[in-house]
Amino acid sequence: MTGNNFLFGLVITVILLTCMPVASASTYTLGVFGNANEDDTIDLKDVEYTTSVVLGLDDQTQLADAKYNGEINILDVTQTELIMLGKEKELTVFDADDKIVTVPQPIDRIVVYHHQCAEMLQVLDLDDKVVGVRDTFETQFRRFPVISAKPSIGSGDSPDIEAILSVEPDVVMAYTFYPEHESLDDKLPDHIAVLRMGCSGIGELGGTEDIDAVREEAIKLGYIFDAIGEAERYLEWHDKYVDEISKRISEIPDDERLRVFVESSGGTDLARTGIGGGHPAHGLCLLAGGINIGAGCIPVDLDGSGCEYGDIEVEWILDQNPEVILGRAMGSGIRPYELDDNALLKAYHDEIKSLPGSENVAAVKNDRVYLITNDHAITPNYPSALAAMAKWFYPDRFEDMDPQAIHQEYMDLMDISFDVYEQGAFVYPELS
Amino acid sequence: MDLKGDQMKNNSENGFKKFTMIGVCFAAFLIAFAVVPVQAQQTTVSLNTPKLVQGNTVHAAVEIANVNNLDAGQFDLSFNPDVLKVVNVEDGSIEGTKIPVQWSSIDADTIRVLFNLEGVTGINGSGQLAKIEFEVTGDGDSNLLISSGLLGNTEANQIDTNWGVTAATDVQESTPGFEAVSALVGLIAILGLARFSRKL
Repeated sequence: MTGNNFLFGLVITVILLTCMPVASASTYTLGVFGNANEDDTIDLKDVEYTTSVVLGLDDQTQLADAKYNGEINILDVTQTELIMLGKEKELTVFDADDKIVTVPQPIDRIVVYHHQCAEMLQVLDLDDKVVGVRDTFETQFRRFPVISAKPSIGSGDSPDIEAILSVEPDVVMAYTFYPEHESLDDKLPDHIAVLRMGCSGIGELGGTEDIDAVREEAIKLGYIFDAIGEAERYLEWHDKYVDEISKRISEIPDDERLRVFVESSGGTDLARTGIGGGHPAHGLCLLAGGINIGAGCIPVDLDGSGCEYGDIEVEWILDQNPEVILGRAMGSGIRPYELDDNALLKAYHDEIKSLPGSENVAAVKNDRVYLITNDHAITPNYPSALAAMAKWFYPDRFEDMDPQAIHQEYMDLMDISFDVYEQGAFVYPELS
Repeated sequence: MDLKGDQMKNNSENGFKKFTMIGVCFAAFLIAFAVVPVQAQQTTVSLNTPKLVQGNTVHAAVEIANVNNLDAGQFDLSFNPDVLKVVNVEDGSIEGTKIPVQWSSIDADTIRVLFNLEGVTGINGSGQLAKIEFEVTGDGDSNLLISSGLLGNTEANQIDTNWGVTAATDVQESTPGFEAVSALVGLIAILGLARFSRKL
């Protein structure tokens, strides 16, 4: 190779490297039929890809069947274009259970069982399209100022099908596990789609995959409800904080990370309700740079979901001597948006600190027992809870981060008049 | 008085016949021209090929008539590869709007042609979907045939299409269309009316 050739090759290499796109933060596949090339959006590339499939020039993908009728042809190209324009008559997606669901378009009437999804509907500016809610909404008027006033369709334990039908929904939004299929999906007529979504914030792994799952779900809801702009606005807020926190946490060596015991309220002096792998609170702990000592040690599955959640002896916790105890408060009376003081959280905090023998545990000795609330942290608002946790765990690295300001921005995204500095009780100890 | 009465009766009968005839003719007009638009709604696709002469390059036109709200479509075109070689597929045009085509060989004797109009606004009318350029490389049957045709509208639904006349032969037979028959009926009615009026 001559010197000139080498120089030429070098220049070309540099040009190619310069032109290569920066590795995208998103590596997920948007589970919407029409996303033919299996990337994270539906655009002209999908039109081109489906065209190429029809011409026999590219491999078929499941999502190229935009009309979801079992064959890929030119009609799928038009359907993809219609999806891009928000003019499709139907849209088929994978829900959080990986079940394929076809929903009518546009969706004008929504029934909601799911608090977290209801927050997401507020983020997407869809409050007015909710026509019926689970009975637990009616007492949450601060968190759901518009939605809480909608007609009740009863509890989720035994869905009132008649009440659901009376509000004539296009779609019913449910948890992945609740209400059960037999009592809901199987009893509704075919024209009412049941959409089971997570919307619970970070998943169980606390890694890139989980963050991408949040992104994927937000964009998917944007397509389903023709609110892509609002979904992107949410993700802009989400990514701004989650990416920054992840970046700073990634700089902490493994051997400097805190050992955390994660539990849920409802334990006793003898056994606590431990949270291990497979639970969103575990994911949050990892993302905040903690090592969840309960992961792999808690034998009980939650509802057979593979989630480690259940009783673990206090003695075991004392032996492990965690540096931090993180409690997830939920259940009776703990509706953080509706509370005016932190008495319930303080009581839970005191309960942990006064466990027999806990005075010898590092977390208690060093006053590092922290509480998050389910309705705050296990929701699409998880970035603000994550910021609080990261700041608790590693105060020197997150001195400049203001979790309450992040939370307030989220309230603004939902267009709710609520002052997080003056109202509610979301974490304990309170953030200054 | 009786004569006058008979004359009056004859006049009355003639008037009745005249009005009856006019009524019949009017009805014939209505039938002839009211039915035509209904018939026009049937979308048809046909293949129009010139005579194939070995050594020549020829263009076969895929023609479309009476389409409404067309957005996209596809079809396969098979041929005898010993007789024909596809050189190119050119864009078509409907009522002055370009039909942008893409094509690929899916087999030695079949190409797939598809088109997708820009945007999803749809187009109405008649014209050409595509023009296929062949080299006639041998003699024998061309076996030129359109199959697996599919036209879609702006709602991504299939357009009901008559793909019946899509096999090419060297000799083109023409049959009078419904419009011609209707026009003929109308013309006969006019002539009948004119003749009857002259008698009166």
